[in-house]
Amino acid sequence: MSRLEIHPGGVVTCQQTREALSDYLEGGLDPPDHAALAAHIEQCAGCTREARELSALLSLIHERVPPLEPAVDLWAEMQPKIQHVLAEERLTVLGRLRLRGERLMNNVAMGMILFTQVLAINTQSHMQKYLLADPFRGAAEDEAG
Amino acid sequence: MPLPSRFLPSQPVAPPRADPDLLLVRQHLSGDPKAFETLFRKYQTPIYNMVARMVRGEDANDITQDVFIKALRALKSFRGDSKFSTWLYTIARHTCLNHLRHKAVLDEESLQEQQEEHPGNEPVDHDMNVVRMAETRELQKVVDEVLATMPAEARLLLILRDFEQLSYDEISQVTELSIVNVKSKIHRARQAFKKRFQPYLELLEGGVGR
Repeated sequence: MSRLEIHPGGVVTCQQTREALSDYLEGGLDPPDHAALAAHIEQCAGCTREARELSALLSLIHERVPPLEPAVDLWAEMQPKIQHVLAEERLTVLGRLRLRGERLMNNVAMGMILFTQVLAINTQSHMQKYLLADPFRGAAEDEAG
Repeated sequence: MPLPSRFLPSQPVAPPRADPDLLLVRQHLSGDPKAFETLFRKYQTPIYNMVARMVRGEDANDITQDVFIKALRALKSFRGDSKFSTWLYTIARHTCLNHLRHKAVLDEESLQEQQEEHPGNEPVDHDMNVVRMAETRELQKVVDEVLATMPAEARLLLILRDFEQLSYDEISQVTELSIVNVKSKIHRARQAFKKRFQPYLELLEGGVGR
């Protein structure tokens, strides 16, 4: 139960009311606090509007917005992944270590292939300027022409 | 050393009510192939609902599957200290937030700054009318569009409380925040949502009044 710090004169301010509106609407306040807020809301047009709007919004979400549901059968889609996990769990400690080792090697190999490709492209772009023009290319074209 | 009799309860204390899902978890761990499917069927809609509203659609199927696969892998470590549903929501929360961070679909801080710089920049659909709003599908679409403009944490709290209808205690466990903090943040999130939803709320209220 939440407890408001009501001013010495027993007066609830608009700010206190608005900060405690969720608790008030959900019945989460102590009875004296609830009564004090109800009394304030009854005589304050601004807080009445705030309370009405928040209440309307919460009712709308709770009652008129249904949960979203998957359009496909996720269980059927998940089957291969589940079988994979269960197969992994059935492995012995040694088997799991071997599987992880194989995966690691696989990733390292993939990384090395990528690195080699990048290196090759980089080298080619750097070496391009050192390539000499083919001296026979022009002559061959003239002959053909 | 035995306790003095004055410290012992006069009536035997009943054990706390067991989480029915815990039984299914134990059945799964003892090799029952149907137990996990039962858990999945029970929670796929709530988890999908949370995920789809957090990540806005297209990746929701994959992320929901990811949540259940993570749960399946971690079931051995589930001791039943919290309810299974709370534990599953915690996995879903981490998975959604990681996805959002990874894809930078919603940078909470930048969005918050953006919204502070341009207050009242609500995505109002001016063609919307009360008849269309009265249709559940349209209403759902508008609510989700407004929800998507909220910062990730506020959106998560609203989803858990108002769309999934979890208790404050459960939300406190899922988010690892104190109950006081959760209540205060949810109230602020509701007010921010109401502000963004105000044009539609007025439309609905006006339509009802007509």
